[in-house]
Amino acid sequence: MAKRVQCELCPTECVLEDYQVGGCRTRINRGGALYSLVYGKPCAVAVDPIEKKPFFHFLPGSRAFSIATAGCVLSCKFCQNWQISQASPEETDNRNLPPEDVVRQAVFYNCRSITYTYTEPAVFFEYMLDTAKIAAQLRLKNTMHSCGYIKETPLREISKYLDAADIDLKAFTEDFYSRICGGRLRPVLDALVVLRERGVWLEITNLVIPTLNDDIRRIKEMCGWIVKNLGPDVPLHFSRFFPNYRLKDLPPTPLETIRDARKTALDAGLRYVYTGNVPDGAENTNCPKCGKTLVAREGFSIRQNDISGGRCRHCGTAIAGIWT
Amino acid sequence: MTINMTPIMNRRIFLRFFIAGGILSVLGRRFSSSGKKTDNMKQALFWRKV
Repeated sequence: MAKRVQCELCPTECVLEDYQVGGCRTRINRGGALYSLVYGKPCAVAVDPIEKKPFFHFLPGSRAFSIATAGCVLSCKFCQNWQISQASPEETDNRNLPPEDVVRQAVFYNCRSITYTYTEPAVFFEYMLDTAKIAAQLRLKNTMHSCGYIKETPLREISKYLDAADIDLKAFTEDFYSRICGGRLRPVLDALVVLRERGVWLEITNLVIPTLNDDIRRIKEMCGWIVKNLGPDVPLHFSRFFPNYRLKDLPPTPLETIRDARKTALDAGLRYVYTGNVPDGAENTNCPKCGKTLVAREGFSIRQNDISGGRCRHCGTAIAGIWT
Repeated sequence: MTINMTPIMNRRIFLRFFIAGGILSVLGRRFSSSGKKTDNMKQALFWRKV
């Protein structure tokens, strides 16, 4: 009897023979059933400031209990966590941490949220889902940092328990996603729309890489798409690239490029645009109406917070986000 | 019935039993280990048989 299975978690939709492991390296066909190789076995566990995720409009100043397993659905040449994302679980140093223990530790370390991050949370979907259910019962928030390369049905399922998501919108061309990441752009855009529809608080990160995705016309198109499909209140984080993994031959992103990207995004109508990995970058939250600085950040620390009841303390304008 | 066994016949019989035993041992480990390993693994969501 044929024992072939097809995974339906991410758009790659691997077809696996008996004993074959999927492209993400975390799911295996055994005897005609699909199993997770990483359930309860994170290779990265840490307590981080929520601003590091980066979430700038979600529980500022709070702690996020962050976990990840090995594996990823993509193979980005610039991955900053490639040592674990491009590894198999047999190659990483894993802990035994069942979902209930994740939640227990999050509470112990006074975290207000659990973040599924570092690699790609879709590859440890079942682990994330079971943990999120327990966390939600205890009023802990669930957030994820994801590439968004996940099919609609599982995304809708996890969205029932997700409070916030930071999605890497890596570029705005199919060519980039194919050549540089081994994936497609369209499923990521679809995922963003689903998350928005589901009411999950959304922030977007774009790593600007010289010569690959720094064309200002494409950035303008991307920002226009975000405004039209997700709204002008979605915070956008432009992050500066530094040579890493398989792109060590490229230079760091020029500061002027990052500043131009931010200006383009603001001109397109986005209200909250930040820059990361940049000295003296745009990391403060300003009121879109009166322009006053509301949240002043230094690194991942909050120096000032003038948002009261979700509004600007000076002019009363509603500031999009989840502030308490 | 008496069977006259020459030394080479003894070696052949021994080798056959030795190889057969080895094959059975490998098969036994495969079936027993597959059961143990899936017992320790979480069945995934979102997949189908094809």
